Amino acid sequence: MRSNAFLAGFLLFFCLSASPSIGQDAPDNITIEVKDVTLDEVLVQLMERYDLLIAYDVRKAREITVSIDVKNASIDEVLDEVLADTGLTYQKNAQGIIIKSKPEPDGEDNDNGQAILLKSVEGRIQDEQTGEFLPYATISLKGTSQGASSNVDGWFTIHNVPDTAALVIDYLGFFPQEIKVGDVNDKLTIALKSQSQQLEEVIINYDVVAVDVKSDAGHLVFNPREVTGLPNLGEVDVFRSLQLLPGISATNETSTGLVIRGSTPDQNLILFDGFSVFQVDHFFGVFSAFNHHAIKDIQVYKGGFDARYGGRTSAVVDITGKSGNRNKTSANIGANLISFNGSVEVPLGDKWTVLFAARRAFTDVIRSGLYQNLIENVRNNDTDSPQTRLGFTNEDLIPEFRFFDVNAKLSFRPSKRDELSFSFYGGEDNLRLFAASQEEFLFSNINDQLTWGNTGVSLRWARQWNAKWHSQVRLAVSEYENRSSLFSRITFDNGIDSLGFQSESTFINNVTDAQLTVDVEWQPNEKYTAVFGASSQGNETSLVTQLSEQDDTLSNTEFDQQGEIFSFYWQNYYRPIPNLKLNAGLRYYTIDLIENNVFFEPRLGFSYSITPEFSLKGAWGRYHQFVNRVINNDVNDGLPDFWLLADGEVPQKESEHWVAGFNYTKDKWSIDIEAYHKQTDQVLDFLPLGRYFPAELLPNDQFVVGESRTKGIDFLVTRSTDNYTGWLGYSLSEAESLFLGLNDNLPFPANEDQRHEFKTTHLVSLKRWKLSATWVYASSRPFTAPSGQFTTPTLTGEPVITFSIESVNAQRLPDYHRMDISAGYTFDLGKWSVESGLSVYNLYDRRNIKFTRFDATPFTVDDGILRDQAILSSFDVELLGLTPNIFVNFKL
Amino acid sequence: MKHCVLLLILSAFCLACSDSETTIDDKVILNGLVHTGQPVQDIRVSLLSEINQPNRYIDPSEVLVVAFWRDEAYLLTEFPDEPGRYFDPLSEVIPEPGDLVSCVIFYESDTVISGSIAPEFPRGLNMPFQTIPLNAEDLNSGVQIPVLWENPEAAFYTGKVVLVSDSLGPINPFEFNEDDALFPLPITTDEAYLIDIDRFSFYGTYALILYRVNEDYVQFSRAEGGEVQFQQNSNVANGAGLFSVLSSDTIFFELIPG
Repeated sequence: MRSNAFLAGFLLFFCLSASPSIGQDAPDNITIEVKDVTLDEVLVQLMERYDLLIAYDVRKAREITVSIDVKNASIDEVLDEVLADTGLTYQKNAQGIIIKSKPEPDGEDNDNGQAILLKSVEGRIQDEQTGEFLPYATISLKGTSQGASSNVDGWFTIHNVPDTAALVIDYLGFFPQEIKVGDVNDKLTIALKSQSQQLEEVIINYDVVAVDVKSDAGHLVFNPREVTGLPNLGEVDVFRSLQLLPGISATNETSTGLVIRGSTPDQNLILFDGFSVFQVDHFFGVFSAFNHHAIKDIQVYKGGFDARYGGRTSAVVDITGKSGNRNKTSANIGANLISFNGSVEVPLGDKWTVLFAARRAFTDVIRSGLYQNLIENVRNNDTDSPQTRLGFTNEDLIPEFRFFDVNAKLSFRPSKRDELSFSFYGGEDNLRLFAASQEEFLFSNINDQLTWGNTGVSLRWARQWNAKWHSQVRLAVSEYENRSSLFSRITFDNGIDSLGFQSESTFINNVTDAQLTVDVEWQPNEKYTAVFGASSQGNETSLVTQLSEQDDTLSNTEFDQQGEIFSFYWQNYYRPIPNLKLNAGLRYYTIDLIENNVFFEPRLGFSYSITPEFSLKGAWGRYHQFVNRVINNDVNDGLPDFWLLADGEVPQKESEHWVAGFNYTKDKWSIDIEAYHKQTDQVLDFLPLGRYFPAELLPNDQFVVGESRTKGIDFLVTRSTDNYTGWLGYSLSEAESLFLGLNDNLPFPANEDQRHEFKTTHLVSLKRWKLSATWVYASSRPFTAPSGQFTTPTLTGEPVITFSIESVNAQRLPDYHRMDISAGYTFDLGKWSVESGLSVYNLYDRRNIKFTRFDATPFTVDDGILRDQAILSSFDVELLGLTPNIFVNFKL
Repeated sequence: MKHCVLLLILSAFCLACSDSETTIDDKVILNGLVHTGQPVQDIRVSLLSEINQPNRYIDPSEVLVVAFWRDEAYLLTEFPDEPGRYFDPLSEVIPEPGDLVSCVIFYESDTVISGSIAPEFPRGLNMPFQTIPLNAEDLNSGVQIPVLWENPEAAFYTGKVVLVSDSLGPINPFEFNEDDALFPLPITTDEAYLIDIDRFSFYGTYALILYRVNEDYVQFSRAEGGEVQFQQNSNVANGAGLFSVLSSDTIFFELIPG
């Protein structure tokens, strides 16, 4: 750990030492001595060492070789000497220096006969209303494919653009802004006006854009500001909204975990302000764990992601939290039939901002009809199972449930180029199941407590050193813990004698991820950008199971894993020509828990604009994952999902992605089509039969290792006009698994296999009304059913009836479909803007099936031979039916 | 553009895959428990049945059931009044400890095969108390009856307790269970069983049969419920079921009113 931290620290030192100090004015004591170097190198040195802004033609400057040796000279003296005999001259103004060709009769002129100047533009993009800086905005040279993106702190640099050109700055959910390069004299701060802000101010029509497809393969941006307009199940839900995109399954209603391109949710890297989130949902998956009031930006990488990201084998969801309103105090208060929520953003002077957001379910106090509906749906996995304790069945247990989460962020800007932030997230779910009965002198009770949740903190320092260098250092710690305690007690008390017996079964699983990360972005010119960094990561998991009776501990098993992972990456973006963008990267890992512990992950990608409207894209990459989530499908048995580290016996997952597609954008239409193939090896899975059959009737070897293959095509058509945005998504996919020892060692459809999924989303804004509707259709999911039975005699005279499973996942559930609608109305109440409305989930009450469960019941026949027959019964576990919800939200 | 969208919508519906059906196949089920030192007489052959349907037996004219022992093949014969149950008509196959016994079934184009090695006989089976006086009050006293044997190699053992004499009546006439005339003992690698006295409902003479079993039997019996299981660990290649050779010893003891 120490050596890894040292390496990360060294990298930081390198970054610091490579970047010069910045002064306010051009100095007159310049000392520089170089011989036979390019003019470009000299100018770069001047800019970096003396904080100068110099605009010049890089290509030309690289062709000119110069020498200079001056001490304590003024900038004029330096430029006069260095530009002598180069055919170049310079022009100074208050903002900087422009180097240009000396006027010649046959010089390069524009249409007006004026020389064309090329300049580099550095700037920062922010939200006009809140002052928040906007990450990953698109800056493009109008009418061309040339452009750049802002980084995570909103900074961008675009090199060598003609001063006659115009830049278009575009960010999802904001009005685009056009800026003439010739008008730019200094570092730009570009304030974009949010569309929702416009709505609040003057209630006019506006273009809403909820989804933006980026030029690199697999990359989508989702607008968190539009989530509020989509139908919901009580809580405005970011992840459930993401499920409306093609390639992300929308049919698993009781899990907001994202099944992306046929892979299990644990294969996704979910980042919030840089720390990984292990538990992404509340209420057994009904709601996602993220409060939309605290979210600024959501980047989704469905596959083929570049070397900046690692540690997972399927996809990445990178969420940037809000820093808080820098201009004025703002607040939100809201409620629905499940929970209430609130957020407040406070600027503290010019340099500090604070954001605090929280949600809490009040279901432990007020149990609305919606709550009853949801909790019954969650628990119906096994309410028909015969599990009993102290004579109580699962149906007898009364649930009491609540959840909460808190987001807090403190941001500090010590200078215009520095950002310091501290981000905290804490969320927890708590389920209590209890039952009690009294018969004469006998009192029995059950009191089970299940608690699980995620806590994460990150401390980040970012700095834009100059137009070419940006760096960030982050210390992030994330912890997921689930803890269950199953307590039962029986007491006999007749007033004379008193006897009691109690037992408690405890299960605790904890996974901790602590990372020190350094990321550096270097953009030396308009063609090349490099992002590189290192991370030292400590992972720890523990698993404790304990059984005690009275005060004696009968069994206590503890399992600990500690691992250290060091990773380094280098990601290159290169534009040999303006229309072509090439990505090449490499990620390297060492992990101390595994022998042969060095792993390399090469990544490649490209995007090519054939015309401004039509572009091709592709990506390829290898990926590793060192943590595995083991899924338990039985909510009531007190054994929640748990995580294990790869340690040689528990394997590390490995995957390879191939992605190719194209994008066509014209007017306000966009069509995006991507084909993909994903091979994942060494998949650790719970025996895929566990969902369908009582665990006690299955063989004990329930962990299996195998591989999975997914392939498919995602179609996305988006349309945005005045007042309206909508999209159609369609996924054609196939996911299959191969596990040795299962299904005669033949491939079988994976649990996530769904051949067709079609979804359509529509949002309409009519003055004060926001209306939306979504419809999802998905073809059948597979499930496993016994297909035969036989009887085997045993030594004890009790024959065993075996219900034989000849093929895994050979059966299919009925097709899935549902429609959701939402209507919200915004009005003013004093200083507050109030939005209230109705959302209806599963409007036409479609009875979708979650899975089919089987139970076998032995019975005695009349001829006196005991238990030589059994009957198999099955029942369908249904998903949510018609579920209305009302909501209200006050915004200051 | 409209055509494109329409095409997408239509493709979603037209290509929706149909539900697949699984039909029962003629998988051969072989169940055989062969006792060391005894002739082969309990080999059961059937076909996989449909769910909640009775056993399917194979016409003996369509199947060959053969035992292989000491490099010789022995054709087994179906009991005349017990369909699906085969035995060695000449009682020639009598495995000794260490012998490999295999069973091969030829049915249509399938060859189903399984084999098992006869384990050693249990050694040193004994009980310190073979006549045990007790009364109804003793049933909940926590008293346990020890049964001991030698097992230095930690082999697998299982057993059962059977009431073999005419019952002398229930120990507690107000609360007894007819099923307790026979009860199984769990699989163990220990050298002792401690049998709770409250497992017994009747006075009388009991036989405790101790079986030394192979791992294939243990694997099959891993389902905790015992009487019903989904999926199974089978040692039958190209079929399903359990074929295992085992060795046993028996000790008797008596429960009398005390």
